[in-house]
Amino acid sequence: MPTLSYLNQDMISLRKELEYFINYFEEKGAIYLEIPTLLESDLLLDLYGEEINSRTYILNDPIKGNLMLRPDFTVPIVLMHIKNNQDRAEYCYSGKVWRKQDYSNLRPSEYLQVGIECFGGKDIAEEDARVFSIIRKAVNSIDLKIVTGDLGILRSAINGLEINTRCKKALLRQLWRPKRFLQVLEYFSHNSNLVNNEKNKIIELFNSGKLLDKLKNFESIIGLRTKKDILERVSELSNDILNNQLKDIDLKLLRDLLKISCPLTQAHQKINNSTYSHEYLKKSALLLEKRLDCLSELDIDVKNIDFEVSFGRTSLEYYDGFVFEMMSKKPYNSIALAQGGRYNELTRILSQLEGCQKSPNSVGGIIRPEILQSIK
Amino acid sequence: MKLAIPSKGRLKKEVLSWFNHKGVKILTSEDNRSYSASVIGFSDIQLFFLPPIEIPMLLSKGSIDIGVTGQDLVEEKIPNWDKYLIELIELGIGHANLVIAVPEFWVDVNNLEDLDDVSKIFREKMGFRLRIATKYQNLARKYLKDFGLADYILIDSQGATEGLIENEAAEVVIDISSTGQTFKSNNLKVLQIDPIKKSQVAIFSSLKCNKEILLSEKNRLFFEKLSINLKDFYS
Repeated sequence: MPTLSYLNQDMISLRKELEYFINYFEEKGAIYLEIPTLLESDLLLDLYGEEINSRTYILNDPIKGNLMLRPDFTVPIVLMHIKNNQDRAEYCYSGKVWRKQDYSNLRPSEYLQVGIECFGGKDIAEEDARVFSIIRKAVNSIDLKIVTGDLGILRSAINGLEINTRCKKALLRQLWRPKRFLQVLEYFSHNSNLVNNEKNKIIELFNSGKLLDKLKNFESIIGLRTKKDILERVSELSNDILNNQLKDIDLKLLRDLLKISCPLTQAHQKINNSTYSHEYLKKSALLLEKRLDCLSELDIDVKNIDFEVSFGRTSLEYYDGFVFEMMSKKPYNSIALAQGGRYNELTRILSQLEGCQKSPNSVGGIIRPEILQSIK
Repeated sequence: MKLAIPSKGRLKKEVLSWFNHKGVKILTSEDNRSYSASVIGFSDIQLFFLPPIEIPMLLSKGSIDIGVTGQDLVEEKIPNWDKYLIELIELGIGHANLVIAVPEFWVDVNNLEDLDDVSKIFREKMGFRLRIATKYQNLARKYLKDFGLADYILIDSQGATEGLIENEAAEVVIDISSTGQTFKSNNLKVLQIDPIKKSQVAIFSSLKCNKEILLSEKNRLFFEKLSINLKDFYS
């Protein structure tokens, strides 16, 4: 059933709005792209993970295999960009995306997105600020609540700790699942008591060289995981206990950082004043400060922008640096009418999968014209 | 009133015997393969034999009024099921737990934390996500999301799920188990943690059904025999 927003008059103004945004993005130097609606699903399924997969519409084609109804524009654009072995380029697009919604969620499962993606920018702070500014100015007339974050803060806070790679990786991969992140933090803390008896027994068997004998007792070794994989993991587990990993001061640093929520203008100072700082973290705080300067230079009203270190952690596992969301203040609408951020890591993974040498820096932003229209 | 009960196997037998025990006799055709039957003494009740997995959706749409099926299937098939269905009574049969099973020789894996660690190492080594096969995608996804498992993917499996690991089409299985024997026979062990879902067979009614028919004098005796007081649910 067509909803109110699909009535003719609304459709005309919506179409004008889309044209306006595209023109605006093109003026800023972006190339307009048409992206297919049906995407090959295998790569996307592995990339997105279960969280997003459960929300995508998969269509069965007996010959081509499963096809996915476009759940967003970014991934197909990254793929196109890196396959053409491009470095610096900017694109814009407009069209529908499809996402299944929760029963309780009143958001439509089919909606418009218009956006911009910038690749290959060398100056991170400058590019972040530029994309933010383009999106902010495109929705200029609206009184906005703007929240920003920077996943780079937590990433560098972790990367700069004196802990082994296993511990770093474990923390970094759980950044997007806050509850689990705290559990992993606890597990690797120096006074961890999360190693249970069962695990202790296995570790003891391993340390006394008897684990291999135990494994030999199993007649049936099935699946892709091997005995060697098990021995290797138990060796890691044994290491986890021996090496006191996260010190109290490290735990305090991460926990304090997670709590930072302040005006953007104070964010870099707050980070510099946290428990302690290491080179990685200092560099990230500097980037934050530089981005702030760039935003001011672009005439962005930085005083009215919020900053949260934790912001963006529960959304897509997509962004790994600067992130932002814009919501309408009057009338208040909690659904972001625009959002975006930096996703260098996503592009790196896709480049690797596609066997590309280069992996350009990537940042982008989207506007949801229907939300915008609903508040006008 | 339209009543649906499981169409096949042990479940059908157990459900019929439960009704019988309550003094409600269901007359099935001599022909074991026929799906027609009637409830003796209640000629107004239309009885359908249906696959238990289809019963939840038919109830939620109101195509049938009353259905006998597993709690696990209702929860799996209908998100926010209690907005569409009412559970009237548990039958105390068809007890089963939805559990997580891994190969028996994974001596280092005993809980979800281990599974999370293994999925990380597995994806790094193999270049793809740890595959968890299940028929219960919704229940499994919700449970794993609540925990915060990463680097996995669910594989849809409508049967013989336990065999998928040996075929190297999955690494982990989430399935219903009553005794655990199928897992053992396939060299799998169940993780000794609380089950994802404890389930049994229950009678459900549709919130879309015609209340007056349900509460009619003719049907009152039927529900009374089953020890269901409909007025507790429909007021």
